[in-house]
Amino acid sequence: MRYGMVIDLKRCIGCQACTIACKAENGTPPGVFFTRVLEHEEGEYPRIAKTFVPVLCNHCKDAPCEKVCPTQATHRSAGGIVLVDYDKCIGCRYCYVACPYNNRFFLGNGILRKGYYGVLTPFEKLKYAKYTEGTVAKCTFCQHRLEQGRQPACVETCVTGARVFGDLDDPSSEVRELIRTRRGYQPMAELGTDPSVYYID
Amino acid sequence: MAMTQVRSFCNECYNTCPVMVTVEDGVVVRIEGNAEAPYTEGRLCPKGNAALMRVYDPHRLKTPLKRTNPEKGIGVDPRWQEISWDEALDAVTDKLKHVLATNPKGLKMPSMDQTKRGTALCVAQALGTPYVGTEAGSGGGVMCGNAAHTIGSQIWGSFHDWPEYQYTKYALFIGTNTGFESDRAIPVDAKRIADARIRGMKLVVVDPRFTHTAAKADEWVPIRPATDGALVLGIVNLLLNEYGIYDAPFLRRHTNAPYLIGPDGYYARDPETRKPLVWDSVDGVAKPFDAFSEDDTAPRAALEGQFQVNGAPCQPAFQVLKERVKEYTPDKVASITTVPAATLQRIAREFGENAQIGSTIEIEGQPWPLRGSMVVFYRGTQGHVHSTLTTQAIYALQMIVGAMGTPGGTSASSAGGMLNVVSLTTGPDGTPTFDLHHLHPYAPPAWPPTEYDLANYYPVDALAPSHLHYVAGANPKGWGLDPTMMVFADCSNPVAGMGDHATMEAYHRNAFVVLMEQYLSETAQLADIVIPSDFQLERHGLVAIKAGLPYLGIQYGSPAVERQPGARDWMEVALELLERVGRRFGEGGFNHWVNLTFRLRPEYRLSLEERYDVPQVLEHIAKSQIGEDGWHKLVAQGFYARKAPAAERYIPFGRARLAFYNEYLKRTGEEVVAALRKVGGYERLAQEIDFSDYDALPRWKPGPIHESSDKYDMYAVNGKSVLFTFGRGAFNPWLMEVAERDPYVLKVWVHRATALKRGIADGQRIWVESEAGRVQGEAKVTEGMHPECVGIASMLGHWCDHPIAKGKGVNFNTLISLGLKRTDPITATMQGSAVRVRVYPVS
Repeated sequence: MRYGMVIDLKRCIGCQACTIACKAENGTPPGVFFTRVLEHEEGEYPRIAKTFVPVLCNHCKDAPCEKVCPTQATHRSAGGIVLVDYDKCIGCRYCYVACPYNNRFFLGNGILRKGYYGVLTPFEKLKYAKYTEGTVAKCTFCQHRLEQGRQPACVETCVTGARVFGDLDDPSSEVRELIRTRRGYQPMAELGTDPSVYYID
Repeated sequence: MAMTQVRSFCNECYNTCPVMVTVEDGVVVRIEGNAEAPYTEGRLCPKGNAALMRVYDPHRLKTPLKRTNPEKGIGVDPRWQEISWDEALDAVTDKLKHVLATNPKGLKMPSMDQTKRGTALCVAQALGTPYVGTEAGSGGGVMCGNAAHTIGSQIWGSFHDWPEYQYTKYALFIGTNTGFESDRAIPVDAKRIADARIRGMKLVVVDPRFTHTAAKADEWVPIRPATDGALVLGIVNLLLNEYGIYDAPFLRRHTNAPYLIGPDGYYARDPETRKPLVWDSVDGVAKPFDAFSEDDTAPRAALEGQFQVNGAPCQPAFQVLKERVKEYTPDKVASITTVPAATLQRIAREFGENAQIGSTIEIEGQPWPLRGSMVVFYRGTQGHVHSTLTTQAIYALQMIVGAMGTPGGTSASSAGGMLNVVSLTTGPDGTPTFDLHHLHPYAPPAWPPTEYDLANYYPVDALAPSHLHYVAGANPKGWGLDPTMMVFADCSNPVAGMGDHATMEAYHRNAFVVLMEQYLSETAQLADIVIPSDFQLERHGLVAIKAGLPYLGIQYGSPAVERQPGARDWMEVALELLERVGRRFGEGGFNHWVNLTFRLRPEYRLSLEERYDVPQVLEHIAKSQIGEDGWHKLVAQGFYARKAPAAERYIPFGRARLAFYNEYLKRTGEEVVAALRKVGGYERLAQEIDFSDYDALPRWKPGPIHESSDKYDMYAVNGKSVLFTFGRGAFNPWLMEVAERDPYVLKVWVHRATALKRGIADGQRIWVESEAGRVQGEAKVTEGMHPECVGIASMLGHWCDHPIAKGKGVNFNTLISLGLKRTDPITATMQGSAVRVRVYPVS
């Protein structure tokens, strides 16, 4: 079993529903985005192309973040999900630097005290309880939802069905089918990190 | 930890998508799409996902406030004084009694809450005012597609047309972000369109801005603002006069295109029966139209030619259009629109060929005409003077390729019913009968006007001209109107979202303004009393499913969380006020109007004397429509849906012939002019209203924004970001944080060459100035903008004292001049999608 995601760039319309759904699901503080959608414009008037690229932790099979962690706070869970144990994390940010995809977030001093309005809302109080200042946080593939038999929040909310989640080890899974038929590729595959996130376009 | 899940619907825009709310220990921790609803399947847009943040906004109003500063103005401190609910209601009751006793029509009840439309209408009826509902519902000057609703209703009884993406090969989007950033429910249409694109549907987007829609298109066609009609007529000309592509069987059988038109522009009629005549090409004589309404007789109806009938030269309506569009040559269209002639020719050919005229498809065991091309259009084509003509042009194109009521084209739906598809009845001339006044009553021409929104001068508008309410109310005496005016508004913010500040200030000075709101908005600053409103998640609600065909039905929202102390629901307050002024019970009271408006079945009618609370009223309305079992299903699921079969969706006209030639419109125009000459006012009105727009067939005219001006040498155009469909989105910190990280949303888009010429650098602060006002913003230099235009995302640039919304983005509406001259003469759409501006760096 290896959890993985295929992101269809042809479908993505850059609406950021995933970005916000992730924020709500994981209750992340300001400036922290376990998933985001990047936007890139090129070409000359009127022949222009704009691409929307959703990014998140790639849950690499050969994860640089995991290798450099001095306390094994970053570890691999069932299904290949890369997680951070906040109790073990000492906030050295080695992983943060080692991640070639910029998808780790350091929870700096005070970040859990102000919230979005300067005072914590009841929602923020409840959600921030699971985070620790001075540690690194990241996407968990919504492991808590997977345990309930559901899909990651970004997948379920996606308005165009651009995100497909499943088992990369299962050759008959929808993710493998898409990778095969639509020539899926991994981000910065040349680094040899073997991401569990694939793109098709 | 106590966890519950509550079914409700989103209220962050007009689409009210079904949601599942998760509550932990009384706190909303998540709003997700309701996965059981077959139309959204759990999908939800960013606004819906973010809505919970607004529930917990510490800046929400907690107590009623009373103005103590008699001086009212934008930027002037009202010097609020906190008052109790009792004091607030007493003060409102006194004012209301005075207005009802002296001038009930002086009461306006605007709202940006779609969910209370029907019940709020009953409140208005009990109070005796026609001015109620969303700024769109009670008047569509601001955000709606007046011309689309009005002309769609006349042609085929359709208030909204639903694109049948499932079978489309070629979608021509003109002036719309629908299903990408605005308009129709994103969780529904974004998926439908994405599936169609993956299948191979070609998407062509005509828009001055390179939108998210354009980003996903196969081709972006930038265009000069308010010239879409010329582009479409250019396509019609090529199809009819160059390529010979049109659906003759559809036009003969399902439209009035074969009707003979006399030299006076009216139908040639049978002298005895008065039936419109059609030329029989086999027998060589004119016969009543209904002689050609069967499959075997329809082919005999002539579409082209010139005939002598009743002693006068007549032509089929189709021939008249064919002749008229000859002037829209590719070169002429290029000079009007800036779209190159070769591009126009290619698009016209692609559109015509992909229509696949003559092809059929079997759906649900029955063959239907398959039409692969369609036009999808909305606000960008609508927010201009002459938008009725543009809309007529678009419908003409759809009809000549037979892409109406067919798979791959569009299907129709009505404004009235929740559970029914349009069913047309045929009038004596064979064209459909229609009711244009679901949403506001007809007002006959009068001078001085009897209506504060000047509806006397827009008799065919399907929506009331709400922006003109502010124009007339800014100067009631000048219009001969009683100056006693009162507003009882529900979360409506026209001061930031309507038009020029001078008009908005004057109106709010003249009226006694009571505003129920969640924050101290821009409109609150001009109010006399502000009272705290609750949120959808804190109350019960009943709305129609707005997913579009094939799904029809209703949704129910149950309260997910306790209401914030101090806040109340507008409907609840309205009912209390009605009781205080003696209009809740008895004949002509609220209960009576609920029975009538919702046509409640006898067993569910409200007793006229009983005090029902809001949830009880909603229960009666729902049960009357879907019965006891339906009601239980509705509350348990959050929705009650029906899937319309193909037989209801396709060619739903019965024997009615679509109004290809809109004789009604031409006649109405002449009647309005005649009536105004009789009652007076014509001379004054004709200086500002171009009554010659009333015409049976489309043409293109330059609008006031095309007049040459040395000072204002550019256009500013607006459009929505998916993050901010309504103004309230700007108050949401999650949405605003994403917008602040986005390269475009909060900026003023300037074309690279234009920026270079004007010395504007990327990131520089610039002024955008119109005759109505000026706004400052940060320049985003891009290739994705028409060089004659700057682009601004709407619903932003708030200046009220809210830390999330204030100063973020640019307020487009400040640039809009309100007035009759800047209003479409027929459907009263305000010139709001583009304005003339000059653009220069902040020194």
